[in-house]
Amino acid sequence: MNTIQKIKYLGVAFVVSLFSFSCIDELPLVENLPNPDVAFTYSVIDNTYQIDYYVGATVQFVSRSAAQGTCSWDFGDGTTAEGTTVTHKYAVAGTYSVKLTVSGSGSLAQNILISDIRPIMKLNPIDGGLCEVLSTYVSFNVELPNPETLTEEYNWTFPAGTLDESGAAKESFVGKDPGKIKFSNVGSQTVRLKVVLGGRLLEESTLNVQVAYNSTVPTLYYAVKTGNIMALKLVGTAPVGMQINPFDLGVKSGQHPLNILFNDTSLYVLDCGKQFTYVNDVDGNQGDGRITILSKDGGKVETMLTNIGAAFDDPYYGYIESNKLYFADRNTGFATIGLSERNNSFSRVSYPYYVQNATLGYYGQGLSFGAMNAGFGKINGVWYWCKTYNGNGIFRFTDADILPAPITGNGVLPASKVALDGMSPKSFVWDSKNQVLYFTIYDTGYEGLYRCTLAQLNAILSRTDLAPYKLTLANGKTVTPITEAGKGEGAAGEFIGICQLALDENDGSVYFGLRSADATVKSGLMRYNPASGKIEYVIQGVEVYGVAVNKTKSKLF
Amino acid sequence: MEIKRTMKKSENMKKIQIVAVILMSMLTFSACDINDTLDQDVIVGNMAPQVYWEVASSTVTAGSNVPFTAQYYSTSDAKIDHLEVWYNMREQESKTVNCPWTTSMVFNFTSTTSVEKRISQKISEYPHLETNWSDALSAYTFTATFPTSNTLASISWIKPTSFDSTKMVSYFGAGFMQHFKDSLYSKMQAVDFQKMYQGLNLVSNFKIYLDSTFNNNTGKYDYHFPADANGNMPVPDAIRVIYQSIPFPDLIMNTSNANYEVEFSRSYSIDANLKAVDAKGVVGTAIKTTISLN
Repeated sequence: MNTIQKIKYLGVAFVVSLFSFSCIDELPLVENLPNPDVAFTYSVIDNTYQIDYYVGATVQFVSRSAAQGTCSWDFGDGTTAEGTTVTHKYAVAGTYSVKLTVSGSGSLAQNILISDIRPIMKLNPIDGGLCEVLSTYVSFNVELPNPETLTEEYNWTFPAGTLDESGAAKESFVGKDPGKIKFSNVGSQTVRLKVVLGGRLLEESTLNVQVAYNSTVPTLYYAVKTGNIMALKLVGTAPVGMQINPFDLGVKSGQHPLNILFNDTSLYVLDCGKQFTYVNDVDGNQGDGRITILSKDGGKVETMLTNIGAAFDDPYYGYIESNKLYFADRNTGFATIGLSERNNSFSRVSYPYYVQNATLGYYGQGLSFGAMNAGFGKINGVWYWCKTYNGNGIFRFTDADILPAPITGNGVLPASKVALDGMSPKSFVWDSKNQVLYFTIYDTGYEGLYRCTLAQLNAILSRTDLAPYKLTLANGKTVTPITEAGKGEGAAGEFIGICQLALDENDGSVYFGLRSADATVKSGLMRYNPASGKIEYVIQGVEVYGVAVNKTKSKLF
Repeated sequence: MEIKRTMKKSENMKKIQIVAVILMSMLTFSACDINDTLDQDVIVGNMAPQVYWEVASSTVTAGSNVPFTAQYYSTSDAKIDHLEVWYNMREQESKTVNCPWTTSMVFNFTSTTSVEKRISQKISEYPHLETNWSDALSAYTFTATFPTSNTLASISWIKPTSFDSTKMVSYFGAGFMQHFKDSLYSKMQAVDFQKMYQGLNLVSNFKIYLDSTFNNNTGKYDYHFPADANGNMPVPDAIRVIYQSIPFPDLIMNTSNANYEVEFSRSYSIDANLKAVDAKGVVGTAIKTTISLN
């Protein structure tokens, strides 16, 4: 064996040994592997606050493992224990990953959220049940979990316009019981309470007091982007010194509630889900839209319909008539659901199209495959169906015009014809009392809110004909919804800068949310005021999807 | 002799065949006995109680009691012993921070998470009562409530009109603001710096830092930072130094709407189950219901 051969053999032996050691080192311990036979539960075993998991609570951990072996616990806060059943108290609020290891078998880690102590604020019962602006006094009850009887310091903050029993302004108070107070402003009045417990400042607690107006007026509902469903009393001109603030109903708006509809005593929220723009949903499983029903005070929320099928089948736009809710998908048609239906799952078999692009004579003659849906509804027995892509305009038809089966073209054109032919109308509302139609247009250079009679609508044959009907603010500016990709939400045909109009039948005002493309006109909740003939701000800065009016007058909801 | 030998051979073969058949049969039977797939692969359990429930609202205020209506009956000879409500808790967080100054691109940070923070556990127990029986439903029925914790109230901080650095750190983490600032800087073009610096009144004449090139496609001039010897267009030192002095809130300030482009929300939901437990300890479970807390 020469030297080179020796080196070769040594090299091979070295490499083999390297692999062997590497293999051994990389094997994890069996205890560190998840094992379905390792399981545990936990619960607070103190006599009180068992569902709160406060800091300092005694939490009992019990191994429910089928695997045999010694149970070792890692509580995630640097402490450990051994035994089948153990207890632990966490000193600091937060989320901890608790790991149970059964020797020779495996392990399991599960989260536990430990909450900080915070005061529990409650409103004492109000005579008559209604807190009315400027007249109803309210008082509070505060409960503070304090098992170690530490020192307590209470600091209250009241909203502007809060008055004490003597009528003096009361913006803050130090002490547990602030006594009776009343409010000068309507809407959700947020009372804040900070507590220092044993020298440690706890997380602030808040309580919304829903303060009613002092006479009956309609209510506007609107869905705030990434926020909640809000309500606003439509007071018109508020009394001097009184602010009309919105009510937070405490119910999330959802992902994209492009339309909300009020009927009887309920608000129907049509949320087309996270993905409302184009998606190549080849498996037909990206749908996540739903229709939710809120009681008018937001106290009860029910699910009417959920879609977990195709994304394009999510509910985008809606219209209510005769105990039926008509709901449109993204770009094919609309179906119906009874207003009393609850907890249903969408399928096209269960909810077949009431009408679709291809069951109208317009198909192939102005209306193309996948013509994108927008707002729709009925005026004087005629359907008005806004389309913003692949066939643009308001396609009008009667129930009799709906064909029994889809066609490929050459159908008989409905006699009611297309309005705003070739333009991109997004939403409309009909004021039957004043016989005027309000609509929004998204065409570049013509974006805005318009108002005209039906005869005038029929006479609009090109975009230049729109000019006389365009509505403006008092400063002469117009509202310009965002129609630039990347600036707002959606792309061509999908833009939702003004996605719904709502009419207050009492005074003819039209409300809408504006996502403004014009830096000099702020986004916000707006209205067209027929008394002034101008568009006005209702609330600046807020980003709004759908809007709806409960015309039934009330002090609260 | 030959014939006899052949016959004997044949008889022996028959015997062997018969024995083989018997052996095979025994093997088959014993195999059947051992390899009972039903017994081996399926756990045949007890008939569980049937239970159905409806929760009045899918959204409730944290700390309030959740009303529900239950229907249940036993499908075996074992009577129902009691019912239990169990739920876990999930935490949903949504975070968005946006810089409104950029025009060459959209620069924002977005994060959405949903994590189980407490495992499912028994929350409340209800006794079975014979008086719960309904002839109309052919089932036992009752209405009751189960509690939720005040500690699970939702938190939101949406486009505030005043900036709170304590909340920012608490909700986004200690290093987030610097990370956002550094990431934004690495993406900004000359036009973005220009809009930001003019909007924040940081320079009186930004054009002294710019060069321009005529764009034949648009028929307009494109403004950019001057190119160096290698053709790169680095951010001028003066612009970089000014950027370092800009406080984080100014980077996300929307001067049009007079607010800050930051959104944080944290909310909780529970996945609740109603279980009916019979006298043998067999459990029937109703369909899971998700309830949002606010």
